[in-house]
Amino acid sequence: MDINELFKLSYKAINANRLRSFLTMLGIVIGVFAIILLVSIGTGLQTFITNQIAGLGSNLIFVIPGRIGGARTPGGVVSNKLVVADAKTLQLKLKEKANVAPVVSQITTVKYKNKENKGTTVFGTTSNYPKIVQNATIARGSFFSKSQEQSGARSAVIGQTVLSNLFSSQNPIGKRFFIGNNIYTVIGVVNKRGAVFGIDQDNVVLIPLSSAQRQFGLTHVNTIFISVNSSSLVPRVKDQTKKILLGHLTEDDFTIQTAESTLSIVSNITNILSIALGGIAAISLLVGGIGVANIMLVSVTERTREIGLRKALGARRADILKQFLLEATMLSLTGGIIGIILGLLGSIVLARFLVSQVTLWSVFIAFGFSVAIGIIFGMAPAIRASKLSPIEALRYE
Amino acid sequence: MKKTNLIRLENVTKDYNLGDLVIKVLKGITLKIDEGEFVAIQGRSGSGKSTLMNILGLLDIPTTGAYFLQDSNVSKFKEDELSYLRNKKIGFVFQSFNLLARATIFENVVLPGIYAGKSEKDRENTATSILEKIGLSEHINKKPNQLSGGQQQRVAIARALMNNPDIILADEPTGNLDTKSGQEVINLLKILHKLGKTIILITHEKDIAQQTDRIINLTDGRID
Repeated sequence: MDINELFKLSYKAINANRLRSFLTMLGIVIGVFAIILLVSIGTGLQTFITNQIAGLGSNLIFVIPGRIGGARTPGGVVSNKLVVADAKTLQLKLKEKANVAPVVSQITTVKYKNKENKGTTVFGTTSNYPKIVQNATIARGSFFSKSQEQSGARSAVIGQTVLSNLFSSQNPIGKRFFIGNNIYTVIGVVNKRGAVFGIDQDNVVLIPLSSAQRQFGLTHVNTIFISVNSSSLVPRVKDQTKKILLGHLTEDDFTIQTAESTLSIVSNITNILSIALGGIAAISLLVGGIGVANIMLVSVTERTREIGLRKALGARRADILKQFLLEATMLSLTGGIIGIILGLLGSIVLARFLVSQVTLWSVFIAFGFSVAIGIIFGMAPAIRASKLSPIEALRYE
Repeated sequence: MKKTNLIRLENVTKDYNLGDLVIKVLKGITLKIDEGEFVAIQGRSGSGKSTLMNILGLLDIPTTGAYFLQDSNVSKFKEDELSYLRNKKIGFVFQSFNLLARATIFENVVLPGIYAGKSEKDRENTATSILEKIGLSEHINKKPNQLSGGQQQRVAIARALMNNPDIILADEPTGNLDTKSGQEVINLLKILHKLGKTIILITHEKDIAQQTDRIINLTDGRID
């Protein structure tokens, strides 16, 4: 039996029960759509975070309190022994080799006239922060100066979310607003940085370190950024930093990371996330496959007499097997192709609101899966059809 | 001219195993049918004529005994070999027509040609010419349910002729038809006989059987 006839036959069978075929395909469509979309989100997230970290610069070392991971303490250790004084010590000892910027933080509410913005992260840092953290660029106005920092000036640089929520379209420079109970003057605005894992990176206010310490009574730091003057010095500065801090802290009190080491941790996490998302979507594809098997069994039963007749007229087992297998494969493949198209469109639309990036491998996998599902789930019904005895089948009512 | 045995059954039996009950349907059938004969196999229902027809038509194999078709013993053939022989050597005409309801008349007639591996062009030419001779050309694109019973049975005969088989096996071909269209179908079979086909007609109707050259009477699984 030639392939052309087989295709015509399958097309007719699918077309004869349009609603049924459509619903069966829908299961595959949803599965494939979900795989492509969720994998796209996972990949998009990974790219976004990777870019964010890469944006920090390859010369950057950061010291954070507590211990992250490690064989001995897999869940990490919480510690708040890393303090502002450690940053000062580091700057003194590292001298010309690096710039050190400690960051303290507090979440509070900021107010301007009758408007308020809740959950704003207030960062207290030093004036060299924009030089060190490369993705903190100033959009308008300026960052606070060394003298403003040292005098504990009530000057603030605000993020885009704070800008739009408090000042909407007004020029914020020079405006006075409340951070908690203290009045600050806006001197600059930071460029948009977006959201990571749903955390808005633009809902921030940056103020001089001494002002933040005085207002919130903070001594332990959130992060100490160390910008090394030459990237070849990064390993040496990293070792030196560790040695200095171990002078009075233990290994559980701090973790030193470079952009590179963070990148590998984050890609591990996002990879697992992508696989987990894809896995969940794959389950829905599996359910779709069961739908195909189900409808093929119905189809074989319904067409028992037809199978008997075809056999009487000379169809061999293989002919019947191929006929039903192709029908199942066409069902799932059509569903798969529709799912791929919808998944791609969905990813493009989603990219406007959220991070999302289509990967070729997810499209191939989805395509391969839908063909495989047609064959695997179509196999049992097709074998059943091919084994029908012509007399029994012809007698079937 | 010496006629050769087209079909030779030697002491063929058929048992059906229903759990612990064994039903002996055919109890030793020996018969010969020559090329070009027009034979009726006549018997009441339950006489075993359907089982005999299944075996003659290669839809089933005997429990014991031998079946020679053109001198080759087909009683031990495998399923796919039987399919091949059915396709090439035998044209079936069933009581209930057994046309594919969703396919057109033309598609129904062409079906055995597809399984024979004929080219599309070849299939089209053959089917068109058969349908023309049988007088169904105008119905070529209709669905079976748009035709009368007599017309549908003629479509089934056209389908049986598709691969130019040696044998036409008609199982109660007039059973679902009125007397007039039934007679038309028999007349068509007579014409095919004149054209050299071997025709085996299974029937329980005496007046139909009497129109053939030879009647084989079957009673209780044996030939009288």
